[in-house]
Amino acid sequence: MSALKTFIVLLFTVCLLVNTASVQADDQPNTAPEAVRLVKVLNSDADTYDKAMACRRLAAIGDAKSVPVIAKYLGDEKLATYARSALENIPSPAADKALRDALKTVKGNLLVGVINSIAKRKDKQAVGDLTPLLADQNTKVAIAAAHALGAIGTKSAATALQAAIGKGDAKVQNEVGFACLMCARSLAEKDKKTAIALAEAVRKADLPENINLAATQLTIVVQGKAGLDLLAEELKSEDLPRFRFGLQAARDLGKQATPTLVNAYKSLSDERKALLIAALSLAHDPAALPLIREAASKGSEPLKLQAIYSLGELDSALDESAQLQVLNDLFGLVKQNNSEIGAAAEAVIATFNSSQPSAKVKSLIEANTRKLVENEALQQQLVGLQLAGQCRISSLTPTVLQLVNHANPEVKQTAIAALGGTTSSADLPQLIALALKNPSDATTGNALKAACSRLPLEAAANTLAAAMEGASIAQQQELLKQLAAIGGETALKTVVKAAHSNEDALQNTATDLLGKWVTIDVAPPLLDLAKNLENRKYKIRALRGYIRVARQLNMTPAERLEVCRNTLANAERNDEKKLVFEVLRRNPTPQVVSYTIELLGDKQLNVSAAAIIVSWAERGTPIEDDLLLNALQQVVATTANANLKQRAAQQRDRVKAQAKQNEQGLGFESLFDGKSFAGWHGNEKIFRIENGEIVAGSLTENVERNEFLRSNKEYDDFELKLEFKLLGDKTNAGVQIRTAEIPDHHEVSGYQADLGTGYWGCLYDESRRKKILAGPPAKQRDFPVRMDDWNTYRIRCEGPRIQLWINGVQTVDFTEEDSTIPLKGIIALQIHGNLVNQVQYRNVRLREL
Amino acid sequence: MTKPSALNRRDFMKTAAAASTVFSVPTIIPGTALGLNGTVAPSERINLGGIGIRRRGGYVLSHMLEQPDVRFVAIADVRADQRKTVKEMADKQNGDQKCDTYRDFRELLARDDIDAVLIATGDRWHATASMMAAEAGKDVYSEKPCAISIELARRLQQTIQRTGRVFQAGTQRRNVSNFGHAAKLAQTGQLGKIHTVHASIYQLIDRHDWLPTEPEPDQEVVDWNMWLGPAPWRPYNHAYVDGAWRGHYDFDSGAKLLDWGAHTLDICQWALDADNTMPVTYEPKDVPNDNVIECMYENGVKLVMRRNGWMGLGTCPVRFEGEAGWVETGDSGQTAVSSDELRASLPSPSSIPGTSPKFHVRDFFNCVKTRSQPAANEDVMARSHIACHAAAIAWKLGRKVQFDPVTEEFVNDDEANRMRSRAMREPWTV
Repeated sequence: MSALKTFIVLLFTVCLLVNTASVQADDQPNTAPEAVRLVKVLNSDADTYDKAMACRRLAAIGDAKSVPVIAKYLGDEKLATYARSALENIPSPAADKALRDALKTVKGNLLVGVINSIAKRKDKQAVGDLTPLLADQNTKVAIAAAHALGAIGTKSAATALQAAIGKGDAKVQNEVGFACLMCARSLAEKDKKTAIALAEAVRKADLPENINLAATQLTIVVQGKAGLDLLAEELKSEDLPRFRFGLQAARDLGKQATPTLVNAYKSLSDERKALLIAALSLAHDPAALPLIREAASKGSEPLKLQAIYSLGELDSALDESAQLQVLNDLFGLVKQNNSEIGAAAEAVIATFNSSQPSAKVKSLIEANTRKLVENEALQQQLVGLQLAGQCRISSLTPTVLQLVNHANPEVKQTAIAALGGTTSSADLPQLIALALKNPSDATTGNALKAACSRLPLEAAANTLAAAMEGASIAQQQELLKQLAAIGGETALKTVVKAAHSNEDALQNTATDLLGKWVTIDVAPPLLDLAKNLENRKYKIRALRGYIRVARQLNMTPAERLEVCRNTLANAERNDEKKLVFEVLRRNPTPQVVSYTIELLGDKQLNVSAAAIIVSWAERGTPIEDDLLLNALQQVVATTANANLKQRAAQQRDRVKAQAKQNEQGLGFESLFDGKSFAGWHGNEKIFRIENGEIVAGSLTENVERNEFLRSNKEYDDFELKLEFKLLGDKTNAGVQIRTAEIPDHHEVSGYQADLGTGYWGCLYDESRRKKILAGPPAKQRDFPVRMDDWNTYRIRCEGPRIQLWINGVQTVDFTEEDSTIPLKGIIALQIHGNLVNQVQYRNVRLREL
Repeated sequence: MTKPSALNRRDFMKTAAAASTVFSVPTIIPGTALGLNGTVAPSERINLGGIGIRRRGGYVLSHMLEQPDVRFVAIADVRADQRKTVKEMADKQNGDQKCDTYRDFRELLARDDIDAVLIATGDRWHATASMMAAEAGKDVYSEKPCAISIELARRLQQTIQRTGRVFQAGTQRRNVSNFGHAAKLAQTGQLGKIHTVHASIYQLIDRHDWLPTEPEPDQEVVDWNMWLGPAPWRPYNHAYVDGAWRGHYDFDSGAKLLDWGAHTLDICQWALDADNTMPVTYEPKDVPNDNVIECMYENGVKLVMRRNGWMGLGTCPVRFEGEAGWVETGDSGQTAVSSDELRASLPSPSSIPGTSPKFHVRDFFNCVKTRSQPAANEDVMARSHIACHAAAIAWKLGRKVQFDPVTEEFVNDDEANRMRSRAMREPWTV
């Protein structure tokens, strides 16, 4: 795989982000240098991938000058699609011409591709070239030509297509038919007459029914009111698909079709009446109401059912008096002692009730429901109870509570279920008492759950919690379940308390419920339980619940990492450790990546950690190159698993090449050649070059004073990257930026991206304000650093803003507020004095912004 | 007229009731018209075919197989193992051995006894296969994302319209009650004037590398050329076929943004009654460990796409915020609201998760019969998908873009406009 391959990957991931200089393709005097380079690639013997990606990028930045070389690949089976993507998107007439020219040179499938690209560009000038292709012997070519003419959609395209109707292969005829409809659609606004003529021509041609139906629908719809006669014809058809397409055309016409539909109704069979009623209601035209009401009261049973549901559909279109009429009808239907009709009417009444009903509508529903509930007839009473629950009529609660004791078990059960809807806060204790009478009864439990899910949260929780007092174990378990279902502060407190109790059954239920809790405030108590419970089973369960919070619930990345750390610290079994690794794998923040690298150091966890790192790389997970590269290197260095080691090495090489190319693409240049101090000056007794690295200090002797290796050049806005390694018991070094020399002095003055014990990743002001300007809290400074090892520093200065990253982890985001501080200066690499320590720097590169 | 069997009818009533208390019901047609009675006349039965069915497709198919008026008659798949699996699944349900298998779905589309198709291939095929199916006279249920580019989303919508087919996008949350209720709270003003809506998205990835070349398998085992379909040529690697195509530009939609975005942005559009428009600006924000994209509608309502900061109500969460309160919900079926007053209006807890296409497939088949438009029809799909693609383009460019919801072009932005479409590999034509 050539270097260019990875470079192009960058083009789409990074370069677009920065290189936003817009490219006006046409007549632009200066072609983008990148485009010039990509054209060279296409002219070279680069491999297929490189050329594919060159085309891809040229789709975004190419211009007329790129067209000829791209067009060369229109005849290349592997690259033609890439080339056409470019030509389709380059906004120059040169691209149109290249495609038209290719019509004469490429053959077969590739020709089909070229025609499709012409279609995409809607190239009006191509009509003449495309027309003869309608008769091409290769049906694929003929079909593509038909589609292209349809897409171009001009009058001359229409003429060509209309002339081709009924000619050639059956497949071609079909596609010409559709292409005519495509043309007709685009002409419909500007040239209605031609559009109608075209649709009519298709309709009258001998073509399969689906095309004929589509043409008919279009003919009706384009004509609007004038199409209603044809619609009426269609609705009379014996043929069911034709009838249905009539309904579809009516749908497109909207309310203006209502009278036509209503007129067609009488002579239809019941099945079709039902379909027509459905169509009418979907138009939301109140004019259809009388017909639908009539069907609901007088139709056959299936028609009635449809009409009832259609009344529900019509609801939003009705005014209050119409709604009241309909509701009266529906309550009438409920009383007809037909369970299916009754259930349908009930469902629709509930729809009305849930659509922000007016006061009158509400009171009508309430009054009629009360009558039903109080009715002795079984069927009506049942529907009444259901409605009371569904419509949440709390004034009926006392009556419903009485029916809970009804002799008929069906009434009893329905009444209990209804309480879920009717119970108010004031009535809640009664429902709780009912539920506690038989804690294992599902109907009561569900009713209580339904009530609690809509009543004021803390009030409901307090009522449930209060009932814990003096309740039996089984009752307490039921109450805990109810509390867990609603959640919130009081609920959590109560369930946690139960988990800490001495009662095994309560502990069992409570830990189970906490393991499924849906808010993250459950995390601290779960950790507490995992640490302190005596029962091992519940202890493990609590820990699993704890790590689950990090897996499934929302946390900040820092909180989530904390949970992972705590879980590993408390996990005794591999099962729980595995859960932690799953969380890490799914949340690859820089901190998580660093932490995973740390875990490689634990022999027992090494393989799991290595597997995650390799999987990140293989899946193309977006992790900063430096960080991922380091992680992969660490896997190679530490893991004993041969397979992982090999895969990590493969990915490391890939990412390394990619990172290097990415940086080149962004304009990074090396500041250190690995052989000499060209471009630098400083105390060469202290600073030396070993193995291509800059080394300063010693592990045996004290460095007397601060020393700096200084750049000759000054920089203002830039991004600097380098690798560093510090050795020694107590270390200190750093990278000066925007710094000034102090004449004839070993010190320099300015910002320092600090390194070393206690200062990792801080921004220090050397010899100037002499203090830390920004940095992580002291306790966290070690965190991103791998001690005694190579790490990366990324330093970005843009205007007054200075940002630092170690190993991809951001440590500083600082904005200078003192306008007298210079934002330009040299770069200098430090070794700190008065310490026995050594620093190594390598791979120093910079791009100016 | 045969009397409908009680079991099916009761099931159906529940469907209706569950749906109707919350949001606009898919119109329910009586058993005889729909054929819900177990003795469905052949003329009233919907013959269904499948194209490219694996995990998600299998789940959707299992719900389709439950429909008494639907018979699954044929599967087309480029993988021999999947052809076998799906045939076994269908044959078991149908109680015979008659489900036909095809490697090339064009043979399935050529059959005139098939009324509708379920398309559940990878993203690269959805729009092309849907359009070909529509031209062959089939109604289409297509898994999302239904189109891999802005241009294809619109072309798909036009093709469905031109051919007069019924189309349902697999964005089933339009037919899941907790999402419906949340949308309704926003639509009906119970949250006050809405100022911000939030749509969850998944981690964005845009890969352009090719996996290492492997020898192509026998065409009968995996038809690689057919698998690639309208996507540009690249060398074979088995991992693509096994699902690792995700995140690769040629195969995925909008750098994976549409994976969740096609659902969640769609629900936001619904909640805002904005199915006829889309946001006009899209701006990626620099938020660590997230892919935040802030979008703005012409009326000033903000739409925030983000990965983090959700309450833990399951996958694909959405959140609507108004001057009088907020609601957040997700696939678990649970709904969180800002006040006890809003809580009072919550429907009873739902046992149907957001991933379930139970009502969504029924909605589709109802519409196949009534020729009405299902909840996630082609118009709804096109705008939600296009808005998602516009957001993904902003993310790829790393800058704010402006979009015209009428012309569906970026405003004075050649660079962005050149990302609206890609070429389709020959010889595919739609």
